[in-house]
Amino acid sequence: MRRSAISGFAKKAREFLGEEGVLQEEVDLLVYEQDGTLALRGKADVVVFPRTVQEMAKVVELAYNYGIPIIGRGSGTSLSGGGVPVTGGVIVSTARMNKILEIDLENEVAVVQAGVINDWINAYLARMGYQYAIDLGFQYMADPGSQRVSTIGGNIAHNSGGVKCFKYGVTVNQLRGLTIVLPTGEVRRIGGKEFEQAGYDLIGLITGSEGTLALVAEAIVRIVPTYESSVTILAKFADLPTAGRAVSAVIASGAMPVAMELMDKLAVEAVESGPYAAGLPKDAEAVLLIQVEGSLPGAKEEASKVAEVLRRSGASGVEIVEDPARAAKIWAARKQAFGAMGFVGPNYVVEDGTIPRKKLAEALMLARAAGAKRGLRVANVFHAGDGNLHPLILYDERKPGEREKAIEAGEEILEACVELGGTITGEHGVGYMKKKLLPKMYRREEIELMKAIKAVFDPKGLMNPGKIFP
Amino acid sequence: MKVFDELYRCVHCGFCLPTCPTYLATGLEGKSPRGRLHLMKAVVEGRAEAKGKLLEYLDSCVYCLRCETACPSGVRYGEVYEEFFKKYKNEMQSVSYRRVNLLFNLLNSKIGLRIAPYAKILSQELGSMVSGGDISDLVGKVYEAKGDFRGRVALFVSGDCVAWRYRRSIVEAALRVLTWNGYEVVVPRFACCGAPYRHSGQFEKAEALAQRNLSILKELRGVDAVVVPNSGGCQAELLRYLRGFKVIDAAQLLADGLRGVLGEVKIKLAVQHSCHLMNVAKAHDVVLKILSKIPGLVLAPLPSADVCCAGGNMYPLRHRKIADAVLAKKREEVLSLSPDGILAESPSCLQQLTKIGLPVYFPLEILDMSYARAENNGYPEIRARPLYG
Repeated sequence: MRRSAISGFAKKAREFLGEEGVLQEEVDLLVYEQDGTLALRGKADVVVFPRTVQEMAKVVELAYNYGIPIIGRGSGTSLSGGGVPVTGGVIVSTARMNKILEIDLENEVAVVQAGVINDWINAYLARMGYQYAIDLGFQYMADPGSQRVSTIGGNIAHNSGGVKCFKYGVTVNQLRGLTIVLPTGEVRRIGGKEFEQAGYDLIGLITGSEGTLALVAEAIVRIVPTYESSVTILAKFADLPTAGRAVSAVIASGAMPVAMELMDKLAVEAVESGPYAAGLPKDAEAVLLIQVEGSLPGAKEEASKVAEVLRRSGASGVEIVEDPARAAKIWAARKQAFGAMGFVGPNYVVEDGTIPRKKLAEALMLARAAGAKRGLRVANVFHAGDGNLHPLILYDERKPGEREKAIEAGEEILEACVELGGTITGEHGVGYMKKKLLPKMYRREEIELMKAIKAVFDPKGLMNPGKIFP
Repeated sequence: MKVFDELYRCVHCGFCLPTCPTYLATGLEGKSPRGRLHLMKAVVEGRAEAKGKLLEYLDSCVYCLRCETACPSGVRYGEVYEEFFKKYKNEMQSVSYRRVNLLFNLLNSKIGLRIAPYAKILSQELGSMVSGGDISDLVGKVYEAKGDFRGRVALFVSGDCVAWRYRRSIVEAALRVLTWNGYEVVVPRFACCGAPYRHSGQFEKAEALAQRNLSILKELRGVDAVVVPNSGGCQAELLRYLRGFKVIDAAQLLADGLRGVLGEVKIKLAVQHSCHLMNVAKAHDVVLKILSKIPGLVLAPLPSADVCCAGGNMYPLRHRKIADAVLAKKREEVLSLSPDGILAESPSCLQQLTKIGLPVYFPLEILDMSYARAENNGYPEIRARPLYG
């Protein structure tokens, strides 16, 4: 039955998407079986490429009427299996919906299609700034490590965080309006360019719903004027717990960093082995990267204040990086760290639990122990400022059983996060990989409430099935 | 097989995607480096067969290697791809190379090279390759250094190669600029560097050319460097097999100081990097730095200057549709900068960039122009003696 539904769907979809907009061959399904989650594969039945909101609406409606599962996909960088078709179905790729539609500086917003790559917005804004050298330009502030490749649609689906979210908030805090496609193919525009919306916060509901309610087709995102200058502080530590405590000390001091990131020795080793090497200290057990911004004297003063706190908190070395080129290199290194795991893994499972910041040191040791117990190494590179851990449990897919052990270690770490008073995900989403753990976070009634909301949008349960709910 | 171990280093992060010209043009995972690695891995693991559309996806790679410089895990895509090509040579060549190799090999034969200028009506791509003057009389000579002697270098150009045979203005510019800067320039009768043969699966031929160039170089008994007059493609290839030699772009060689006076060249050029100059030789920045010393010259890199123009490797002849899509984007970017011309760094880019309709310059031509416009006594004259016999 499924097969005839698929071929009926594909035939009709070709009528408006063209031959090249509907892919069905074995090799196509093979190449779309995976996203950024190494430990998970799933085979779709068909992959489609709408170019406009209308085409997306039509193809979603068609799939829904045929009873085919619908999985949204941007650049395929999800770390929780969000883009993997675990129960088959149609992958709706936004790769051809990649236009920046409007930059409205007066309202400080950009209007983009869902398939626009996060960093393209900044690149576009930077070129505008070049024309008017007098102003400092604008930036889109939600900057996940994957921002050079991940799409705005995917960022919204997962409510992605990023390095700067310590100060500026996560993706949901950057959104003013959304154009979404409901499973029935109806197009809804929620929000707009205005600041506040009356009624229920539908943007909040859609953001982070991981494609289980609707597909995002377009977004109106906030852009923020950039500061005059920023300064980066690089500190090294002889052990992880001291670094963890230093993070809390910096925040307690009243400083307001843009970003506070921690990388452990293994993570530094990985990134320093490759093309994004930035000269991070390889001898330290932990490296803290902190950025402050403001007017030139203001940023400098804040930086020296932070540096002083770090020294008092036991840092074995503190460096204030004023050269913007070197600072950019350091932050690029941080952002490519997951991608560099091929040097030390080569494969990894990454968890994304959050914990109250005060428990940072404890959580890090637990994570390391969960890996060690199974003979696996754990690398850490994460948003220390908001207590959002990213333990990367390393394994080798060619060694039988290691993948399973890595997943198991990850689950143990997340359970520990919950026990420490945190959550199972900060920004990568629950997806497929963490759905088993949802009941650790919520009571049955709470999960039922979420499911009831889903049923309003998606009574047939066709939107990204097999995700979030256990 | 060891090279295929590289496949397991890919962690699927996708950082290569937005740097890949064919992914950007099509939005297809199968036409991205990550997708191609995934497909090759599936074949190596026996989950898929090297046939049909899978081969088309692999064949659609321009081989610009931008993915290698983008990859945080340092996956050596090029080596994997070549190893795979060797293992499935017949299958890989069957998609498009068999067709264009015939034309390319014919063109690079003795007769082919002679009649090439007349054959340019056959295709636009060909036209741009053979539109300059013949260099045959410039090779096989030694050109005298002017002023204080700075070194003895071999200039890598080849009268046996369609890309160089009709690039007279660049070769002359190279001779003037290098001799003016104190270099004795030896121009032996090099063979083609071999890159086009290797990329198209003609590995034995590429190897034979490499051996020939090596022995030619050894006969010269000592040069300080092998200098390539602006061809990222040749430079990358030579770097592979000229071990123990310094292989360097002509502009890169002069990075530590230019002699004489630079005259004003008042033009604005849109810059598109040569992929192999950037991703293999890693000299694209240095070359621009030299040019930026020229008064009046404005260099405006395209927003996507680091993304391949899909001109290399006979690509427009092999994948017309993708090449056209890439070109449309480049054209839009070039026009938005309203430049007077385009700066290219490798002859292989000409096949695409000339279609935009603006004059295309090479770094050496601009440098030469600048020298010629200032008071540099004796700059235009070059003195040569035969190298052989």
